[in-house]
Amino acid sequence: MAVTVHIPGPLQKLTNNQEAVEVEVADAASIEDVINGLENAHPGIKNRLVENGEIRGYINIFVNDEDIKFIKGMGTHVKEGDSVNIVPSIAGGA
Amino acid sequence: MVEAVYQPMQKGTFVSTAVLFDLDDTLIDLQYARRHGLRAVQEILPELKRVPLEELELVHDEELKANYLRTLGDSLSDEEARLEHMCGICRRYGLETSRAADAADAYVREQQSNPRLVPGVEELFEALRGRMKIGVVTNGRSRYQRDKLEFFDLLPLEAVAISEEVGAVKPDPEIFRYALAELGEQKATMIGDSWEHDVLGATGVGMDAIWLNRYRRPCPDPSLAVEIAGFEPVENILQALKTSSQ
Repeated sequence: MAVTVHIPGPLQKLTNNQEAVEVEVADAASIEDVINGLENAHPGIKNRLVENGEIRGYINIFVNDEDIKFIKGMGTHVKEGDSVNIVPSIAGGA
Repeated sequence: MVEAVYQPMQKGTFVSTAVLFDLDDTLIDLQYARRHGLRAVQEILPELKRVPLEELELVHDEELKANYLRTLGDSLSDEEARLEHMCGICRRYGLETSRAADAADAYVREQQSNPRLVPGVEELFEALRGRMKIGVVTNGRSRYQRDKLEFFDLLPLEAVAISEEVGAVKPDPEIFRYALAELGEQKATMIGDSWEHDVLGATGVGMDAIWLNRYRRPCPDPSLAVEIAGFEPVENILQALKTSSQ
């Protein structure tokens, strides 16, 4: 199945300047699987999102507008057609 | 204002050997993100659609400045500050402050969905790396500023001076001296968008300064700093770096 991952501008140089990429994952895949799929297609991006097996503190990931922090984190499941948004929590200019 | 005269850069042509940048609104385009946030506020508070975005920005800037020092310390979180800023905007335009929380939510969602570097920064860093030492001098909380350096792929740097870590806030000379010590240099050229924090702070300790004036504000004193309107084309800033030290 495929999910769409929306990439923030500063990381798009790792995805050939694509704002959104389709990632193929198995049924009942998790966000961790999606990130691994993303890394396979676009090497280097995982390190920008994950540190020591956890999502970096300033990175927020939303599945269909729901923050995975409030679901199951990296273990959050995705389904066919889901939209995954990567949004950095950039402080300043509050 | 330095003209965008093309002069091919060659290694060794710089008078300066090190350059220090401010971070927020110099390397990272927070104003671009804020504009997106304020457009979202206009959607949530439709009465504000009649207010030109430029005016709304000025009002928002005043709110930011009013809380600036409190947000650098621990007395006001970003979330609290955002709410206060939106309450201030509501009061200014005669709207109920009970609507400020929704406006703050809409603001932060759009603001954080639009991160970008100031145009030209990547090309400039590419041109400078290996030719000059590069550092950052920034006011802010350590974790937030370091997160930004990492997310925007600005590391490694030869010097990182963050006010919370140094214990001095620009334009305090101490933070510039700290950065110079990290660079291992007696002098460097400071580039920043704040006349008060960056230009006056840097020149106060004998450094050269380049004022990034993207929004064409009147220059308080052209004798103090070279003025540039942006980082594109990159030759413009390279020329300014040479000029700043002459």
